[in-house]
Amino acid sequence: MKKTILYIVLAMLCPFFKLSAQENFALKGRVTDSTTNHPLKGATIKLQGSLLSTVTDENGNFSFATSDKRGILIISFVGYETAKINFIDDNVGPFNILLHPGQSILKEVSVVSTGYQTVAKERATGSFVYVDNKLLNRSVGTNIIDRLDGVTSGLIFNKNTNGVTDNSSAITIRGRSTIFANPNPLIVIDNFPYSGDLSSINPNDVQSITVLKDAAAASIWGAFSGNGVIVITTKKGKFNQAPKVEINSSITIGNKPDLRYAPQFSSSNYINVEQYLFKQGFYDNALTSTSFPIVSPVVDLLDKRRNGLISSADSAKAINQYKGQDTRDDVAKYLYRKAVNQQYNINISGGGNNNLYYFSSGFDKNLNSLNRNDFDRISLNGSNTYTLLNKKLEITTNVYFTKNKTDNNGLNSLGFSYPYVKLKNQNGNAANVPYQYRQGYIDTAGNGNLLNWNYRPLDELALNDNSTSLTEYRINAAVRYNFFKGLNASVQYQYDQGNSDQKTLYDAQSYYTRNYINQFTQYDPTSNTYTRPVPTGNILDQAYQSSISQNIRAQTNYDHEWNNGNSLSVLAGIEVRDITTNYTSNRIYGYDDLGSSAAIDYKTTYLLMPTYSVSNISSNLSHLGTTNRFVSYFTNIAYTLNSRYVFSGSARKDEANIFGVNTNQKGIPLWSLGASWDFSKEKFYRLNWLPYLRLRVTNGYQGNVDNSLSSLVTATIDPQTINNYQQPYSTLSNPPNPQLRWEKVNITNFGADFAFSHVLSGSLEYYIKRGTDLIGTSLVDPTTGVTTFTGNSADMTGRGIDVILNTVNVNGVFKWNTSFLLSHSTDKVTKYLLKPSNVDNALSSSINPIVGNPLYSLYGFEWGGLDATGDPQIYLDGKLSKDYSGIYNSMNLSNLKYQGTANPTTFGSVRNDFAWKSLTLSVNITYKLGYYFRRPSINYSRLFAGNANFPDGDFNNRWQKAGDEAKTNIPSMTYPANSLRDQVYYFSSILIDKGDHIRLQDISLSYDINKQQFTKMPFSNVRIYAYINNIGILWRANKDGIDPDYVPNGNAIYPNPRTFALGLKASF
Amino acid sequence: MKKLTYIFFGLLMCSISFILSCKKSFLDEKPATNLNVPSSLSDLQLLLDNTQDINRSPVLGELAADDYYLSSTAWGSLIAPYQANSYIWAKDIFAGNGQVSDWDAPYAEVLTANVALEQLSRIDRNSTNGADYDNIKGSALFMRAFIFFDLAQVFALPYDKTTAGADLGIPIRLTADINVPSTRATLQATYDQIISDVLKAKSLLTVGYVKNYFNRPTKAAAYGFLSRIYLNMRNYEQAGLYADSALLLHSTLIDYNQISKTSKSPFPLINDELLYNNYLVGSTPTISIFRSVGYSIDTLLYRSYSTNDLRKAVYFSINGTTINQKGGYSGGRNVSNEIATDELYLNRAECYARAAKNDKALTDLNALLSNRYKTGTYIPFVNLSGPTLLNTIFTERRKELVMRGLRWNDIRRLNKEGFNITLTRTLNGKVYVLPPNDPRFVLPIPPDVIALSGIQQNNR
Repeated sequence: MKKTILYIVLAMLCPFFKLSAQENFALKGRVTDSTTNHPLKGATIKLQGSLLSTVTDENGNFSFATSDKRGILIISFVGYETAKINFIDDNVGPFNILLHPGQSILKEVSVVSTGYQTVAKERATGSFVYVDNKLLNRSVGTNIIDRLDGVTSGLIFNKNTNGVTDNSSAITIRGRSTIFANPNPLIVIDNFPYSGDLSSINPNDVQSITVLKDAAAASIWGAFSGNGVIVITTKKGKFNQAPKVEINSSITIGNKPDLRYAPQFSSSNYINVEQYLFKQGFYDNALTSTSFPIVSPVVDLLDKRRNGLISSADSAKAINQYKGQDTRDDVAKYLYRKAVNQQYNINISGGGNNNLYYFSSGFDKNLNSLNRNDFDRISLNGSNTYTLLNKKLEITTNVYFTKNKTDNNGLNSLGFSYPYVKLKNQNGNAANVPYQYRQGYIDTAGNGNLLNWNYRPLDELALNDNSTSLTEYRINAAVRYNFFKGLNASVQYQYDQGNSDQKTLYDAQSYYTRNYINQFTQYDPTSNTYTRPVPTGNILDQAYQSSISQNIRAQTNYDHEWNNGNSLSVLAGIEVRDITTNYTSNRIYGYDDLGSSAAIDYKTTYLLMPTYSVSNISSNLSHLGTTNRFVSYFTNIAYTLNSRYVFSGSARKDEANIFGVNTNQKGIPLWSLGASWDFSKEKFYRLNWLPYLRLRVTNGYQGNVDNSLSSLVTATIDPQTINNYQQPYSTLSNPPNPQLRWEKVNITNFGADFAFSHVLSGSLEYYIKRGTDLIGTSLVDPTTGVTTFTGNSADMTGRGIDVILNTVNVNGVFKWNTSFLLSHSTDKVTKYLLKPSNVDNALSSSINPIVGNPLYSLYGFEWGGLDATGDPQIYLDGKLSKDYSGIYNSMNLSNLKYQGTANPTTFGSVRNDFAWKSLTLSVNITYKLGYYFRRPSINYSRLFAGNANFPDGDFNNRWQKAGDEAKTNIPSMTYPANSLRDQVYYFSSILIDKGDHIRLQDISLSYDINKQQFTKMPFSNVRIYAYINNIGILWRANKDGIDPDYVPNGNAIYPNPRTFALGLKASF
Repeated sequence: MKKLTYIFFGLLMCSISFILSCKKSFLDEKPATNLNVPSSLSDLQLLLDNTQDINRSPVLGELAADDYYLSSTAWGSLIAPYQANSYIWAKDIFAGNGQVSDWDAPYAEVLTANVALEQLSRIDRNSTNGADYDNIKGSALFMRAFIFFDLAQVFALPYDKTTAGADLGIPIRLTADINVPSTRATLQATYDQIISDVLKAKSLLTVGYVKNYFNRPTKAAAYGFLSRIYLNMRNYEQAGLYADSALLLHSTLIDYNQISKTSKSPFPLINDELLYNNYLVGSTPTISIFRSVGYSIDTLLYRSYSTNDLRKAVYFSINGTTINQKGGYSGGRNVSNEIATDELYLNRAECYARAAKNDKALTDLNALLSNRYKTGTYIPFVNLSGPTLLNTIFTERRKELVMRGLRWNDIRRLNKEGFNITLTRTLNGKVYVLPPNDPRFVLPIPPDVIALSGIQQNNR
């Protein structure tokens, strides 16, 4: 016992510590191509039923150490058919293994990982997508998950959710399956759920990713699997492999974003509108207000001209100059730059007879396109596996450390914006830009007793000092004991701590600090003195968040394979998880690097200048802690009969501290059943043109949870309020709901894997999802004490298909393969007990689903054209109407036309891979079809309020005179603006466009040099690669040049700029 | 080798059993620090002190009673249709509209009381917290019973011990779990629950009487409430005994000579006669009736006060042709149905009279009224007996307890004894009549409650 502990401790401490072999012998052999007899380097040798594997060397030789006296070796190599050899007792080789080429397209052996076990895909009944290392490294980037975009069947990145935006998720696997609960897929890294920041993961450490899409694949993750699971497997060493060093370095240059993409009024049109409004007296309130709100420079000029402070010639000249200016020129020049992302990585891996190791170190330095926004990351990773006691005991340790720092100093908003802002004046200094208060006020307020109150964006840019540092440690240790061949048990533990330290330093010279101090400055008229409750000096805001997640899992596995092609694989275990987070924030006034700070009176309420509102000095103090705890039991069984029929089943039960006694006690487990049939292995099967056909069917449940809900009774207390008797009191905010339970998603999946000769292979899957017990708001019997309640009351369904087709178009010296991905997915809310009370409700960005439609639906008022005065008309209750208030507040939901869903229903990609000798080229074209978005047009009330981000062209084409209604659908400009009229127009069916588009996503090019070609080269292999991303849209359904992934609506939004990457990868 | 196998297996088992053994407390951890789960005695007191949401009873009975009338215009301008319909005792008053505060607010208070009781059961009672623990438990039981009682006066038939076993009562919710369906108890079960709760509360409440915090029940209030319950059940012996018990703890009467005749709100929130304060819900729409221009106190009732009766000037103000009530008995301008000593004197007097203890009845009546007349002008009642005495007490009861949420209860009760109180309304020349013991003396249950719970509607 003591010795065991000692071994564990030693193993954890000494990564290179090698242990002597015990009773091991080595199976030896050579792997060659059956047609050419050339040795195959890098073929994988795996012992069936274990995780042990090795690879062949340059001469195709391998040596595989094992203590097993008999067993089966599986030899696989990309592009070749997998072979198996039996070894018994003294027959230890050397084996001469011939691999047959070409067949690999039929049965490419990919071993998918569920996080609990690895399964050969050919034995899996469920729906898995396996993204191998090659495909992951096809693209270049800082974030590992982004590399799944466009290459993963059934998975979509939701770049734009136009319409309902609440609770949207960045990634959706097979469509939406929840309403209010967590919408994000579970991310698993090396067996454990990952709750940290994805930016902490070094993509170079990732070996492969498996996406679990149906219940048979994912239900082992039970209540966390409702949105699908993404399992990341990191790199490990291989037994009996000489140390292998890999370096990878890349540089990515990104264009500045296209600032002219988002619509913006031309300066001359905008100034014309300002002049028109000025004549109407629109600005008079602002110009005379004693709280001195800002007006634009043109309005200021017009006011001066009206008051005779400036000649008409001077004002005309100045206005003409403004008309020639465009904010975007200065923004592009001073606020943006070319993005430069550098990535460096080195790793060493290898293994002896009894140990494996992998070490890596990565460094990223990103300069974002927004000036002064940077990201640095350093990561260290060390993983070791030791086998002891004749390979009966296996100890694995993994230490992962990462530190990253995000600087967030860029200016992407200029505050009050008009389209002719200049950021530098003629003499090259940072220019004043109107911000918060009128220039006339800030020039004179306080008679020189206040700090300078001007706002100069370029000075602010230089003074900004905002950064977030994230440090993460992830340590895990696993001990596995093989009782006898096939049966093992393991205990795994992981400690994962992430500390985020957010710092916002408002420099004493920054506008924020000067404004804060000025606002609080108190004037005493009797003594004619000014006092400053907020001291001069820097203001520092700090926020710390720590997140600690601990997992412990005990699991036993049993695998047995009979010689008649029957096999059994069983696992069962228990897992405990605890995630605690702590957040605190504070503020220091008068901060300097020496650590000094000023004492502040937070209790007194002050009158603020110039608005005379009252406020306390903010202490920014807050703290919050959360604890999520889970206890889970799981099991998975797979039985293979005659190598043809596979039956699988899994079950899991989760208990959590967010749930009350009922759910935790009753705990209906989430389960799945599946079966597959390798039809082509049947004796009667004779279809030569279809050499491989396997059919799969699965059904089961996945779960999901809304962490914001509690089954516990909660009350809120507001210390400020007291009752009639001057007593403090609290209010019941959430009645107890002991029956609160996991959301359940039932998925039925039908799949067929097939191959037509050697040219075409692929899979076709059809699925039906039924979400029940989804969290929703419903009306309840008021006798209970509440009238509405959020609980398990809603249902949703979804269905879709995933198609994967791989073709080998040309296979010779020149190779051309195509991968075609097509996914179709729809969702529908089938039960929701609270109906939207009026149309406004259904149009808002918050979730108010209408039963029968997708969750993220786009609705529009039925457009009835413009009338003879340029007013928009809408069909209200079947009749043309201009009653905008009546339309907008109509309680008759049939006044809304359902236009379609805001998320693509059909999407996928066509990837062509070309290879000629060592040169490879890969071009990926992606497409998204079957969805809609709201096109931006003019909103006069927002335009008048100073927002210029509306299409200039629409303004030019607006209704201007009688008869225009025959030519245009853009309403006339009215004064005063009617915001309801603008809203009704914005939400009308005329502004809903199809989002369908096809995009040339990226091109990747690489060239490999190996030692055979250049024997003097110090490396065994060198790859030079280039990658161009975000190339452009090839076709779009809309006529307005809008990229439906980036739809502007009165805001400045830009598509991701094109990036160019160049990299070098070498190994020796 | 084998030894190691056992060791490893043992370790595995140990860790699993360790995990399982501490699971309960492991999963009891609160998910967020800002999640305020009311779990201490002071947390529960805070919940029960929420006078914004609790101490709220239905007002529909008072609306349908006869202490006041509305002009045709005032009636026509009522915002909520169910108020207008309730005024004329229409068969259906809600016209399909749900979210009726007369039902929803009292049951919200029931939920709060149930939450308090359930959370209490998770707190250990010991010698140090015993008094507070008992008082909170007694308070929650009292409050829940108070609401059940008031709901039963509006949404269930008047109590009749011969039929109560079959008559429909109200839903008696004794759990905070909103998943438990609501069902209507029998009227007997309703009253049994109410009485058993108040009896428990009576022994648990630690404060006898204190002139403060009338939102919190006391022992005296529990006795007073029991007297009110038994009076409504026409168990006059018990009603009298409990009135007596309450008055033993507190019997002060306010001398109206000390009360301002000009004040718009003559009675303060904390005054000498109060034992427990409770408001009628929907005070806001209710105020718009009771304080509106077209509202007036019943003219005959107003005329029945003699000139030396101070109540005439203290209670009412003349506003043109209408007579308005000035303020509630618990201060402010809210309509309230508080338990107060004046009611208890009248309860006891009635019970004495019914038991033919005429002298005792007269003593109580005279004690009350002597505080209501200008000093030196009150001429005590003497030598009354039988129906004359009882009728005198009823007349004085009506004059004393105007708009105190009790008139509706009294009409229902007395009509059971053949007093034949017929209500009439005249609006736009049309006369509406509510004959004695008409099924419309029970208000209908709001339609959303019927739809969502499936409980049986009242037969009107």
